[in-house]
Amino acid sequence: MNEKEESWEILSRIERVEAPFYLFGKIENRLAKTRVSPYLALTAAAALLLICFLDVIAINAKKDQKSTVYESMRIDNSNQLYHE
Amino acid sequence: MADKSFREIYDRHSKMVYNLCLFYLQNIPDAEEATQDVFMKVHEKKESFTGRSSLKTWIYRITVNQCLDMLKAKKRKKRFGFLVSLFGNEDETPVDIPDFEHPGIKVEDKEAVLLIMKQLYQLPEQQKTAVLLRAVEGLGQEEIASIMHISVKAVESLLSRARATLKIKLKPKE
Repeated sequence: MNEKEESWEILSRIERVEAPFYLFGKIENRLAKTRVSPYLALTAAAALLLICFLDVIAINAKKDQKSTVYESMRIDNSNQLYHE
Repeated sequence: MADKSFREIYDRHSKMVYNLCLFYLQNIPDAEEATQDVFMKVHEKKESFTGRSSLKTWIYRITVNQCLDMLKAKKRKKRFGFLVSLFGNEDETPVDIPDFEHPGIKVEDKEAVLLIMKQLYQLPEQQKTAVLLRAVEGLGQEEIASIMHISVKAVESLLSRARATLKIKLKPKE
């Protein structure tokens, strides 16, 4: 072993220490924060479905209303033509 | 709760990760934070770990990258850091080294260790990484090459350049 390698040698003599015991708990806490609860995910999905469903009902109702108005207009016009 | 396999990975590698972080970051709070970040990444990416290298090598790689990122972030935070990063190479920027806080240093070795760590800290990142993995972790050149994603020849060259620099810097003044 030469001179320059000996200067590094001292680093390998430093005793290795264990990671503090509380470190794993901290990691678990951080993991828990990043994870989405399955209940929360289910609730969100159900809410989204409900919104879509209500939207579809509202659009259909509007369509029905429009077609009724057109229908009555058509009848009115035909009546008018008939009278003319 | 973390799953059982993750706990096993942690138990087997936490000591190695924590000690390497201590050598890189030179203080306990930063080493603890870096260790947490490393295992968060291990947990995140363990499904994508293909097994092309060993698990230990993979974790070493994550640790080295995490420590280098933290050191870069520290450099950036330094006063006038933005000017230095605009006009100079980050690798050449000297860094103030805090007192090396390692619970494992023996009192009689402390002075010599501090001196070496101070000089080691001035080395470019790649040289520093190669020296730390070689001298502190006792890894072979092949393993270092695999961790650093470079060739064995490149590791040899990094180590010899680091040796030459340290030899000059650590030479007692006459």
